[in-house]
Amino acid sequence: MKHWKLLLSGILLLGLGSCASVQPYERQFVDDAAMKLKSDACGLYKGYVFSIREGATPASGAKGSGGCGCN
Amino acid sequence: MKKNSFLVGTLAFVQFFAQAQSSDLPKEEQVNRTDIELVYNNYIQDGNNSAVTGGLGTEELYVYGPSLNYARTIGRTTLSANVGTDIISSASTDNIDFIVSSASILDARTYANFGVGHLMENQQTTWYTGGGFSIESDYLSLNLKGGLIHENKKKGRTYSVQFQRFWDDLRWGRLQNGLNLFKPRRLIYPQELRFREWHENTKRHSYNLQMGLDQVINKRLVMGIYPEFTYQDGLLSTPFHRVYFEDGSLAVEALPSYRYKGSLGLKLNAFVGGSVVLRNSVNGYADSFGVRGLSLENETVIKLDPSWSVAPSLRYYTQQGSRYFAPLGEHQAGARYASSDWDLADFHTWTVGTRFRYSPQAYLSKRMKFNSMSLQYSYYDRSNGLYSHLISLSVETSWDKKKR
Repeated sequence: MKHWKLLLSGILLLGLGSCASVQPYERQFVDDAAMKLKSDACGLYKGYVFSIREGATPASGAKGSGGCGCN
Repeated sequence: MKKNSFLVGTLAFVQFFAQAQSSDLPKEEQVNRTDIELVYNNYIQDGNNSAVTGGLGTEELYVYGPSLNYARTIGRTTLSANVGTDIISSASTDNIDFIVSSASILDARTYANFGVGHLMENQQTTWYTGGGFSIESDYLSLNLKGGLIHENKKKGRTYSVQFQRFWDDLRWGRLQNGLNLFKPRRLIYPQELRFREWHENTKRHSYNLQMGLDQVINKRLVMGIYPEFTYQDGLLSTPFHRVYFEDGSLAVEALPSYRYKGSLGLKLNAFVGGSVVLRNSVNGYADSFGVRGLSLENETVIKLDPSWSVAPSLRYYTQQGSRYFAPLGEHQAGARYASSDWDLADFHTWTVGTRFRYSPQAYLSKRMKFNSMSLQYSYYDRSNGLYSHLISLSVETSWDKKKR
């Protein structure tokens, strides 16, 4: 548990602490479709399958359609 | 003095000129846009640890899943819908009645979700709400959700929060002998265990809270942090899962009537050079059944040219199983809670896959745009022998209409 806290704090510090202001004319990379953090439809279905075949439910996945997943 | 008069005069002229310029500018353009995405998923699975037959038996399963995503944006308001069906052919479901056949029972999960979102006057905050349902022969799930997304002025940081509530009913009989939506009959137990009611409760309630923080770190790096909490109560067991005890006796699966789940997802996307994007994610999970999970995933998007890309991916997942799980014949007789569902066992999994994407962003007519087409294949291997293939195809188009 301690290691997790350390790892998380490190990522937060590295991430949020070193944020640079990105000007509108510098956004060609961060606005690229491949840089989107959200999963697309194919990725969401894959996450749905994982949530059934594994005990864990991935964070930020789709939970819109329910279903028993009991097969 | 002269200098001051000149300065004031210049400023007044600039101010007047700026006003004249702005009055000449067209009013804010409103774009009415319709997005349509067609998706087809094909899932094939096999293994030998079916929970229907107590943790030993075929898990052969075929799912054919077409669906449609629709979004209509009118000014700052977006209406959305997602409808689809999964046609399921499952060998294990046959074994509820021990009518084993190669051509298995056909079932269908049909679902629809609708939503409305609105970008507020400040152009930074979007609220949304929605609801939906999913129905299959032994399951009805209804849900409502609502959330907020807020982006800071520099568009470098986005906060999001969403609450979703599910009402599920596990009674069977809505799709048998015609459509009986409001007359479900009973829980379906394995054939030889129908001499008594094993569960009083037939409903499951879920409460889900998702939060998110997306951050642009620099010109080439973005990250996201996603904590999530879920509470469930009611019937959390699957009534037609068998459990064989060490003394040879047989019962249906029994799990506690409530479950807390917590998960934390981290994503980090990096644009490397001019044509490679590394999409990385880590996901940690823990729940009150004793399940602990950790997944690590990388998808490397390689842009072959402005329209074509290929993205190989690799995912590793490791799980510590639930304290209520034991394989066939290993549960103590009389145990209050028992399951032989291998989805709750100790295991690790590997998933490898590739995605091809063609995104020409080309107008096929004056208004209709072909945005992209994706084809994805994944192979999934679980350390207890279960494996699956997943093929997904998606086509995205949009229609624009400018309005002044």
